[in-house]
Amino acid sequence: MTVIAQRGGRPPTRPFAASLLAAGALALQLVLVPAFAPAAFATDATPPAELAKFCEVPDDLISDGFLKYARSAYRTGQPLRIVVFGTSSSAGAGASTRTDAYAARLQQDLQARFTIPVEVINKSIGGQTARQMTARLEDDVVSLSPTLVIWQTGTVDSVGNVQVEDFGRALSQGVEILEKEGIDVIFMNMQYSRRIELLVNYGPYTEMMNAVVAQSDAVLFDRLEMMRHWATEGRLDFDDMPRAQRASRAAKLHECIALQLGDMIEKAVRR
Amino acid sequence: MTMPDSSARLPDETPPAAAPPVGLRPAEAPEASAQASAAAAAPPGVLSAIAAAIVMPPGRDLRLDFFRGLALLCIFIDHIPGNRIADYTIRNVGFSDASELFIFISGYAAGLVYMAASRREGLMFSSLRVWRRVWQLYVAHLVLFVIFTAEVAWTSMRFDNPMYVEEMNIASFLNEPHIAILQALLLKFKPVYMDILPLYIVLLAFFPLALWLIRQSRLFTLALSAALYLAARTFHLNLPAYPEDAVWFFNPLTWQLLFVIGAILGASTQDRIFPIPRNRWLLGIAVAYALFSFVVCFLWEHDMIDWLFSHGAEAFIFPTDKTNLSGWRFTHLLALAYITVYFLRADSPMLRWRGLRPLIICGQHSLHIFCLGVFLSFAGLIVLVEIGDSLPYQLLVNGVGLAVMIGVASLLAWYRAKERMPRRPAAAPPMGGASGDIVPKALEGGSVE
Repeated sequence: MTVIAQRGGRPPTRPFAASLLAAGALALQLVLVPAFAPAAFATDATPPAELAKFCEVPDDLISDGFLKYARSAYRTGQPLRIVVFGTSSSAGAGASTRTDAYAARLQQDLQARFTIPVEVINKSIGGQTARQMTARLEDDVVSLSPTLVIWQTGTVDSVGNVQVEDFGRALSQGVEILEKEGIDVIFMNMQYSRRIELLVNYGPYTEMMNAVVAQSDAVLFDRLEMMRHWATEGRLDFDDMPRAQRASRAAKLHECIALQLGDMIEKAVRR
Repeated sequence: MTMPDSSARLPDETPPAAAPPVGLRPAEAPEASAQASAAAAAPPGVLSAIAAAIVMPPGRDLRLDFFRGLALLCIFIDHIPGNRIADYTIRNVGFSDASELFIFISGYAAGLVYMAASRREGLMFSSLRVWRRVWQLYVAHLVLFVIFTAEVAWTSMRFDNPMYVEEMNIASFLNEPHIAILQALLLKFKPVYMDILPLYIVLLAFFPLALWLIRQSRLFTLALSAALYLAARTFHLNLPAYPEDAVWFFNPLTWQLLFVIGAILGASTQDRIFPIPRNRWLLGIAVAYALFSFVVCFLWEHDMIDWLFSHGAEAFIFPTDKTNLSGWRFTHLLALAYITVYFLRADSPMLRWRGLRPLIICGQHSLHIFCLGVFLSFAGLIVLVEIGDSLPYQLLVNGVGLAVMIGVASLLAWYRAKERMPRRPAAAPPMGGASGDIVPKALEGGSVE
């Protein structure tokens, strides 16, 4: 999935070639997106203010992290290329179509916020451990030379009882590779469900991820706590949800995740 | 299951009147105490009868019971995810937590009891007693496993949302129960929060070997244990687990060090071959390290670690490696133990304070209370998940859980005392004869290993 988008406004600096490219992209978007985009793109009708209110999270869950490469791309008017690098929940499991998944929505969200071209590429594969993901990092992420990677992991490792140290080593090695290549990293942790807590102990793995974040330039997107907040508030409680509502609520969840990610990236870039 | 042979000759099991009775809970203690003198003579109400039957044997090292009881209650509280009370358990004091405390004290108690027993009865007999204990623990673990499996089956039925396709894999063992059961029997399959009992089983199963080594040379045993610890940490050695590629959450190859250190110290309490030095400098180092540990953990918990370290320097400490028992963790436990032993003597009257007795009796019935705690934290979590996890529910779950653990421990103590009473000869001398035997035999009064 690769869509280049462009909207009006003027970034701080913009070379002539970039302007041309941007104009071309704008033309492409005006013609191609309405023509070929799936219906879900066009008919999503929740007004932004209402959505923002629905998806609100407490301030302490909002990272004040700093994305240096994304910021310099923004400052110099370079395109912002983002790779979503995750497992099933990033690939869109539970939402009715892949375009409902947060990766696709993030593309829309960010293109509305920025004037530079934004591109979101989803490279998620279900069922992989952090170690397996680190192994395909070069081929699936670095080779695309993105500005930013959203690395969603932790579920498969904690469910499979992978040694916590091993999980941590995989993350650290991954971050090292990405930092060397000049790529920003946002880590995203697990999905929340009350009943999951009966069966899996996420604690050591989230702690390990927090530690890797604290010891590197990576930033944390605390999906687990955000979803816990939405569930506790009764907005998105998947534990006791009638079957018929599941797909639409999952789509809503992905909208919220995209919105929060968009907020986070915008803040980190505009700082 | 009663302890083997401990009943008939307990020199310290004084009549109830000689030792103060045990209150069930702090709140009930005054009532129990008021009826204490009457309890020996006349049969009053059930509660005070129980309280009167439970005695604190004077020769027993109550510090072991107390701290093991503390560890057991903390393990129960810490094992309820999202439990706000868990912010106040001993894991918040520094690098180590209740697991270290439990394993260290278990090692100490094993060294104390079986060293003396092996002198009395020979190594072979003592080894069989250890293995009998291992069998009890193994059976207890399997019972907990069955309860957990029922729990998973029940939960996963209500939890089939495609959103959680990866999370649902936790129930995948239900698709191949024959393998799962086999792996559980081999101690390779350990459901969440059920890791520490298998560790204890493995450590105790190899304890006769350690005991034999300790009888040869304590320094050599320590060196061997430390070498195994270092080798396991250096070469990343661990026992295999289920599913594929998983390993033991508590690595027995590293955790044995803490158990063996405990056992050596425990074995040395009587012959003083390996006495713990009373040294102010050592104390100073221990206190400084404990304080450092507390400050670092506090800042880490509150995201203020940058105050102490420049960016990234804390990587040297955090996250402390629990699986392989990082040096930060076990030295912290040893520092706390040293400070405790320095200031709190075994015969300190503080230990006989009524408020501590609930913890002490829990520590005296550690196997039962440990298993009960694991079960109760499951049950408590179900309540929090299915009914609500607001603060009142949290307080209720913790309160009921602790009350049940203390209540059951009291009943066990009462039952054991009562069971023994008719068989106790009026003035049977201890068979070993040596006065040094009093302590370990006293320890056998409660299930101490």
